[in-house]
Amino acid sequence: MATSPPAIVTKKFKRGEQIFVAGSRATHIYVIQTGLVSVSILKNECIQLYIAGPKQSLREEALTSGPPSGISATALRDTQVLEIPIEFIRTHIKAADPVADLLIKGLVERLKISANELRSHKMARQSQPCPPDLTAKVFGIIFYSARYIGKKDGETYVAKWDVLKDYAVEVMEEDPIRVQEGIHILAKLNYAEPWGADGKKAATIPPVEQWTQICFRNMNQIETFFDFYQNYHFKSGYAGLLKTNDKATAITQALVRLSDKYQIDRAGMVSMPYKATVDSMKEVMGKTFEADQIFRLDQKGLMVKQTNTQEGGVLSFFKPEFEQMLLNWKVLKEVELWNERGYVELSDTLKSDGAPAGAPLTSKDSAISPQSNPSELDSWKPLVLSGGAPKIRTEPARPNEILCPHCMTAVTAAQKYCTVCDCELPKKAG
Amino acid sequence: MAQEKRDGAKAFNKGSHLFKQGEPARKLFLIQTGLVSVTMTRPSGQVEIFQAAAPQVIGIEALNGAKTYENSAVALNDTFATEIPAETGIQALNGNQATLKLLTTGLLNKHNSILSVLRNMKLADTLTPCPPEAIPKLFASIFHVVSYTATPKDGMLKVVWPAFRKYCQRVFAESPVRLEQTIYLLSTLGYAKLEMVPSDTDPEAPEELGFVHFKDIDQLENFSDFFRTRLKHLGPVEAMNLKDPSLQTSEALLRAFGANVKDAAGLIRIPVNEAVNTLKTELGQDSFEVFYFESLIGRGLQASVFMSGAEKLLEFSPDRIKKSFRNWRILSKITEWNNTGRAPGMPEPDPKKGSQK
Repeated sequence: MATSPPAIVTKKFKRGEQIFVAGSRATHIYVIQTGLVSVSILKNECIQLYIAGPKQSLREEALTSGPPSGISATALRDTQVLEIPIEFIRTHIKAADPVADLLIKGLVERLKISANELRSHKMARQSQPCPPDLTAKVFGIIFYSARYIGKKDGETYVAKWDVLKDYAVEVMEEDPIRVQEGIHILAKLNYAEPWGADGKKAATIPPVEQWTQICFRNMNQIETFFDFYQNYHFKSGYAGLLKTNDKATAITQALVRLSDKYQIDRAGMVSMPYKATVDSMKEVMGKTFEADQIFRLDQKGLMVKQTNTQEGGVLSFFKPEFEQMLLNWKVLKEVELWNERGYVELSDTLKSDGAPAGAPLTSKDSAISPQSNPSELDSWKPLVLSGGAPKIRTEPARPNEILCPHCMTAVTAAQKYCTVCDCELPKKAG
Repeated sequence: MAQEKRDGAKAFNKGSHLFKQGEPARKLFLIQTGLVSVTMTRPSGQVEIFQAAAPQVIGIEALNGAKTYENSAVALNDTFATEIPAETGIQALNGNQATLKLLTTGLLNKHNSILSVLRNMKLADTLTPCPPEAIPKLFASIFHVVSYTATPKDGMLKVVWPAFRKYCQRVFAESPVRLEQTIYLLSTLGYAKLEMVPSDTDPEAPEELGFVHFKDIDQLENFSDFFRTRLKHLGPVEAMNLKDPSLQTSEALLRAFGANVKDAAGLIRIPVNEAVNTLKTELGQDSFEVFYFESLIGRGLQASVFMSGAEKLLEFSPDRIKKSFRNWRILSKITEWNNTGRAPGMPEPDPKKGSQK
């Protein structure tokens, strides 16, 4: 006699895996046993409706008539669910106590209406997992909670995870999942380390259930990021600055990397010969690279100044600002991906341009992808992250070289004002 | 008022309650016809959480083992609903086949979770000037930003008001209007001194708030913590209750025993029986019992009960109790603000500028 397949099965989903997708026919109802699930609408971006936890049902609307719900469910942690066929449930409901039948149907209907109301609310408010209005708040609250709860040890703060989470959620009214995902981003960027039960740094980021303490290694960068974000997000006309662009990131990174060969002056400005720089950029970025692309960085808030000289011109820019912007873009990129996917992907390793290794390149990106020194660029980090200070030129002027007495930039004899710091240059005697 | 029954369903006239928030949760209501509004009582009035129609079931907290209803349900038009005793409902669901039991638990938990999200969204839209849920964050935000960014000056901490307000709004998503009202409220209590400056743009305009000098900033942290505990244990309505028995008991304790000899740590210890008898007289409550102390400690009474040998003692620090009164003073000012719509100390709006939002 043939045996029928088991009606109910236990299924396991890794963090990031989808339990069901929007538009698919509902054939099963799920009951979460362990883990955490994000129930959301995934279109161009993720609109998170709610987070479901253990002993909660999913997809029970399948018991009522109606079109597919357009809702997806993604595991936010390693999750185990019971998958129960709809027909199996219908059969048992028919056979159940009439009061139970009425209650279950009444409950399912109530849930359907509540879920629809929640959906219209969230759609109207564009409830992304990390909405722009709340991006500075997530990182700001992590920062302030860490300072308040954590124990300071030199430059680091170590905070108990459950105390930090309680404070951030109960007092500062932050969403617990947002705090968790925010810390995932900080952990990916090595600004924070979630520690497991042994209280030591693990080789990989441990699952949230195992977090006992969070060691915040780089509070300065966390603060700089949310300060940068709040500064531009709430001003009109700066939206472009808060969207990453792989092309701009690659150019900025290459430019900063090339500038390492040149000394910076006491004002933080670095001056590079125009032709040699553009040639080197072509080598790094590919032949399609045009010098114009450097100047288009001003759309991202980064100014590169070109000065004509007899030697073919000079490009100069404020290097610390460029380095800091690259760091800000790394966090921004992670936030963008979080809003797209609904969670922070931990298996991504960030490429030099701030994009995750697995992210597909667009046609525009591929034209300017770094062509040479990929490993060098991958491992490159701004000096500020290693606690280093920029090297300021101190040696005297070379023969026939004239330096601005204020910022030590090379100037020509014909110049009246310094092209970098705008100070008046001393007149030649005689 | 509820009327006659039809096919076992009870009729509820338009405007009558199916159940009220705080009543014992003994029944579920399966709506047969009509429309019901499920509301929550707030200090500012009723807030509608959702509307329910046939064949939905409401009063679900009765199935979750809640002692009282968390919301009220009022018929929006003539409504018929079948009343199901909570015990019958629980038995019917528990008597189910295991999978169905699992499913109903899943449905109930999901209902609670979605309802909680919806409730928070609806409550966030209410117009209470300083709603209870916003209080811990409001005071914690001021405390953090002042502690981190202020400049010490003459024993106080000085902040530039426009920059401070902007920062709190952007980083903590704090309402600038609520923040400004709180600063005026704090100024009436002596925790903030306001420095007015001439307007940058209009020399004719009245002076505006330029700097705030904070004093005793730890009290703001203390209050945030105090109110957070009350909110967690008592819920939003009871947390705002100024006639709280813990406050009256604290006052009575100080009156009766405040002059007793303190130990080196500033603590006064008295036999619990003596304390109970004295407080019965002080408070005029013959029903005052030992266990009452313990329940009041969770509500904010700064005291503890412990055994010393065979004797049960009540221990309290008069100084700590006096300090806790500062929290009650802040809370009373917030209540005044919620009742009048204007924080104490807040100047009347300039009619030329139009009404303040």
